[in-house]
Amino acid sequence: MVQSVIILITALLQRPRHEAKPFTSLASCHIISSLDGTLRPCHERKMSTAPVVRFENVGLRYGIGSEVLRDVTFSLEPGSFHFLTGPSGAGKSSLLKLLYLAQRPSRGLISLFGEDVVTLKRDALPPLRRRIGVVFQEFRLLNHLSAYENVALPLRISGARESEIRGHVQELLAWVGLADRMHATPPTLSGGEQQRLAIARAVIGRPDLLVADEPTGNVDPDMAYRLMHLFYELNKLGTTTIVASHDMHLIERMTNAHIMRLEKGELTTIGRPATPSAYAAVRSSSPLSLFT
Amino acid sequence: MRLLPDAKESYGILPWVIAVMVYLCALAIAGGFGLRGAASGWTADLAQKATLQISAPDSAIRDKMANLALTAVTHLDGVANAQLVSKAQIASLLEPWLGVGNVTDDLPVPALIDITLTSNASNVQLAAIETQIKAIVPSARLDTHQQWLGELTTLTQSIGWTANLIVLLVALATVAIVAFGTRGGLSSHRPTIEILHMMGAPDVLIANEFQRRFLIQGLIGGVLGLVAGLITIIGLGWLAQRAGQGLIASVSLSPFVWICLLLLPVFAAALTMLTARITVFRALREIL
Ligand SMILES: Nc1ncnc2c1ncn2[C@@H]1O[C@H](COP(=O)(O)OP(=O)(O)O)[C@@H](O)[C@H]1O
Ligand SMILES: [Mg+2]
Repeated sequence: MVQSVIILITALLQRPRHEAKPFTSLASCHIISSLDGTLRPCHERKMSTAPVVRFENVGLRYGIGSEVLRDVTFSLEPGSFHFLTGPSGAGKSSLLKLLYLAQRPSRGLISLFGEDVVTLKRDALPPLRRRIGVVFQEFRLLNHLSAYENVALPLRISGARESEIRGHVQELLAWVGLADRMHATPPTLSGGEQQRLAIARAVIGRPDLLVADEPTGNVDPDMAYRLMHLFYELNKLGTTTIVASHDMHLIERMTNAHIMRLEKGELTTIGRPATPSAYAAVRSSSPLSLFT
Repeated sequence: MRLLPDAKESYGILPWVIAVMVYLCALAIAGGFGLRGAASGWTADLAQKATLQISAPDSAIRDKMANLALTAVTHLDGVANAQLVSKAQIASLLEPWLGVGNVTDDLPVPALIDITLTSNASNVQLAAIETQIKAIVPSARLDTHQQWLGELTTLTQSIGWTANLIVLLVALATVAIVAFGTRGGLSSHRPTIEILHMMGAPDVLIANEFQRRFLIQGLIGGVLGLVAGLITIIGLGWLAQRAGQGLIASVSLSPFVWICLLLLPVFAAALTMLTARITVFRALREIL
């Protein structure tokens, strides 16, 4: 029951939008809720209200085992922010794998950006995948490439120009605190550093959908909060975000995110954001220039 | 930027395999074409020649008949030149078989007349020559080398086809080995390829990476094999020339064959590259 929305263009930057969508060429917008007057993330790309992700009675089994996901039904609205929680082994990673197209469901219907994933041809997958940023639980960095090259990779795959890549990658690496580790290869980085690198790689292309699997498991609470902020900044620009985490402390701090709880392969609760105050708190802390 | 890490295993063996393949192909091509060239040289030489044999129990009669035949044959159509093979020449031809000094006058050796035909002499003319000489000297026999030439042609053609077959088989074996190596490379890079896929890299990007690597390896191997092949070919050519001075018509390769040989590494590299590319596309289709 939205009463009215005012679209506020907060930044309209010089360069036209590029395929690789570098951060500095963004036009970002916010929706001010007439109810409480606070800023809410909005979708500035397409103002369409069709869900970015839609699951209907999705089931997944590996091989001949029992179903690790059962009758999962939900949808993610454009520009929404979700936490996916649940005990270890509940099937969080499996659900996210379906989302980032690493796995096809055993049954049910999945649509991504309005496309039916189950019947999609193989050739149609890469363009869809380029719209999805993924933080893998086990990072999956390319060990033969430097930190810089790892982060640059999504832009390279999208065919961005080298001149554009350098600035964005350096800025983002600085933001995640890896500026001085730019030329290091992942095996020489600590677990926390690898995690930050994985996050930087996932967000560099400013994806339409961000899928993060336990992205703050290896960092201290302050860094975790900082990284969440990065996700929020991106979400603010319209990136639909889903973060698997069982860090309840962190989830509590992010009170305006939706909460989905998975237990033994079944979606038990889909919680609404309580108050947007925590989000407002996040916003007021150090803004990231490359997002604004 | 290298999308895939360097894998030691794929760089080790493949260039050597390609080198061996190119080496075998070079020898087959040079052997096949060289022999065919030499055979056509001999054929051209022999096709211009015929030999008239006159045998008689008595050597005096035989010599008289030979002279008669010689004068007759010189004026016939299609004959450019006719010459009596001297006794000394006959003796030297027979000595290796009968032993020195055993070729005596009382041996019933036929008299031989070497006939050089005009370049456009036909089979009809050859038959006419034989009939006309037989009318004068009934015991004369014209040997046109036709049967032997036919057999020689069959032999050299068979060798040529065998050489072609070798080239084809080597190419097929190369395709099989490269496809096998590509599959191995793909599975050793599987984790990286999966990540690239998840990031939206299309198959063609991964295929290009493999293609580039296999092209380089194919070229290295091809050049190695060609160098070894050329050394062998030139060495054998030199030995053949030394052994067969005068006897064997020179074994030489036409410029076309040399160009084929020099292009072998390019073909090998292209074949390697294409095989790798096609294999990658086919293999990747099996992954989501
Ligand atoms: N590739 C796989 N093959 C077989 N079983 C798997 C695979 N991945 C996960 N599972 C099983 O699926 C269940 C859910 O796992 P997962 O999705 O990783 O849960 P979570 O991320 O919530 O810890 C577990 O019982 C796990 O053993
Ligand atoms: Mg998990």
